[in-house]
Formats: sequence, C-alpha cells, structure tokens
Amino acid sequence: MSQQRRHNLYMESAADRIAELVHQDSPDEQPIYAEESQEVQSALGLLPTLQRQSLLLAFFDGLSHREVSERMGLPLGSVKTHIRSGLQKLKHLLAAFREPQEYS
Amino acid sequence: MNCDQVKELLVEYLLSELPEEDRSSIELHLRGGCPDCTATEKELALGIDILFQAIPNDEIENSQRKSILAFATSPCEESTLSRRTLPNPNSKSSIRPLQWFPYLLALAAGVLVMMTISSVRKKETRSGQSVQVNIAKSDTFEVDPINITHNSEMSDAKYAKTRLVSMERTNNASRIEGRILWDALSHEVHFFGRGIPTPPKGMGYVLWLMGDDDKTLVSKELIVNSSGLCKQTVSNNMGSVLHVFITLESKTGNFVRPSKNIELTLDAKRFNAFPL
Repeated sequence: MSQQRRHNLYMESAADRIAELVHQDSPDEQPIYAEESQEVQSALGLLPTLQRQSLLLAFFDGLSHREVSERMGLPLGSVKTHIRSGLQKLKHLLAAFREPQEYS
Repeated sequence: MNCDQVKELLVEYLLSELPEEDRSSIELHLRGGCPDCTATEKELALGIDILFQAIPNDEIENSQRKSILAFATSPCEESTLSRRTLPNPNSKSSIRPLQWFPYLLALAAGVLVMMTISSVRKKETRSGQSVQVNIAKSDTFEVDPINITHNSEMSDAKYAKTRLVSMERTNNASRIEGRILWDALSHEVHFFGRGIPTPPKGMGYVLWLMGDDDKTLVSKELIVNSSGLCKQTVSNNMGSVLHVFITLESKTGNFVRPSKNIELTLDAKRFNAFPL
C-alpha cells in the first residue's frame, strides 16, 4: 500500500474522533483553524527542528511513528515525544498568531 | 495504564493506529475522567486537526513529497546546505582569491561594483551539483531569474527551495559562488557565499533579495569572514526569490538600512539609497 493511500486511510478513520473532540466545545470557543496553510507553515517553522521534522514525516508523508524513528535515527520514544510536543505547540502558536495581543 | 503511558500513546490513539488492547485501555482511562489526559487529548486533537486542515495531501505530487522528505530528514539545515549544495572545492570552479586583486584595486579607487543577477542560463551541470554561468558584458553580472536547479531532491519543494547563485567577473578573473535556500516553513531566505574578497576599509557588502513580483526587496549587510565565506539570513514573506544582488557600499559607522522606496530595477546600475 502506498504511503499516500495509507495516510488517507488513517486520516479517514481518525477524522470522526478528532472532529468530535474539536467541535465539542461550547459555541463560544471555536476551534482554531488556519485561514491559510501559510499560517500553519509559519507555525511549523517556529517549532524546534526535531519536532517539525517529526510532524512533517508523520503527517505530511504519512509515516508511522516507527518509520519516522527509523528515518530520523532517533529512538521511538523520542519521536513520539517530539510529535506530541510539536502538536501541542502548534496549536498554541496558531492561537498566538490569531490573538497576538495576548502574547505581546 | 497510568497517565504517562496514556499520553505516550494518545497521538496514535487519535489516529486510530493502536491495537485494540491499547485502545481499550486508553478509552477506559479517559472515560474515568482524568482531567489531565482529557485536556491533553483535546490539545493533540486540535493540533492534528490543524495539520489535516492545512496540508493538502491529495494535491502533493510525488516529487514534492520526496523533496519535503529530504528537507524534513535533514539533521540541520545549514550543514545540509553545505554538504549538499556547496560545490566541490576541487572542482574547476574553485575560487582563487588572489585573482580578486585587480578587483580590490578598483574598489579602493571608489568604483561601485555591483553584481546584478538577471539572466543566467544553465550551461553545464556537473554531477548534478554545479552550474556554470554565462556572464554578460560590463559590471553587471547576470544570473538566473529562473530557478537554477542543481539538486533535484531539493527543487520545487513546497517547503524548501534551493538555488545556485554564481557570480563571475566579466574578465573571468574571479568568481563568487553562493547558495540560496528559501525555507517556506520559517519564511527565511538563507544565503551562503564563498570566495568573496574582504571589502576595503570603510566599505561593506549588502545582500539584496528581490521577490518574484519585482517589487519586494529586502536587504541586509553581508559580513564576510577572513576565509571569504559569508552567511546571511533574511526573514521575509517572499514567496520566491527571483534576483539576488550583492553590492559594495560605503559604510560610515553602522550599516544603515534603507527604509523604503528603493528604486531598483533589473537594469539598475546602482542603488539610489547608497550614493557614493
């Protein structure tokens, strides 16, 4: 199975659960979406290198965590930590782009 | 499962990549109402959602994916650039600094030398790494307005572009070589140059980058070390760098960056912002 195909498959299977989590907020608290992918690219650019690389490989190229670990030559646990930290930071960075006054 | 174990697996859980046993354990933990793990789950879901929304996976060509992969797996951008794109010092295009001597004399005499990059054509590619450049007449050096791709893995990527910039004196007595890396992730343009002679006292180099709209223009002082190497990073929102200029400017005290309204055209011989 191609990486792209597999990526699409797991995106589809995971999409419902993620959508549910994202939209379960109160109406006042809207999920943070990038108006343009450039915002996300900017946010990604601000992540530490290893976090960014891990996220790109895992989400952009559809590699499993183990494959990311092999590709980067890092222990699996480290890769998981980078991905987790990167995702959390990405969310905060995008929020900062949207509401810069809170971070100035 | 304790909280640490759950958090370790939350991303894979959200992506439905876990075996049933682990998935059940995590659900049990979350249903138990652990506030910390629930908050983390939400945060990670938002992060994943942001990425899913932003990355148009279906539209990405295979070549682009390979390029991004190459970029993403680079251990360090700078070292990668040096390793992958700087020309072989033993190649024919290696720099002979002494040949700059006449040039330095000319500079000392107060002659403004400007290297304008505008129309280079790819003449020869050696080992996919080096591009020889045709130089036009006069002091205006012409280099490529189009991508000069010397590394197929890095070209045309969504997130990173590299360009070879090669500048040569008209009389072929000297040569400056540089590499441009455009990093769309950080919105930075990195310039790495070599073979650049030490500027005369009171003079300094300025690196100019012009965007592909021919209007966007950023500049920064280019500090050259004793080995003729220089590195400069310019942060900007250029979608693409079309032209690279290096000029020698008079320098009184600190480099004064022009504020706005730089009149620079492709055939400009000098910058109004820096009258001699």
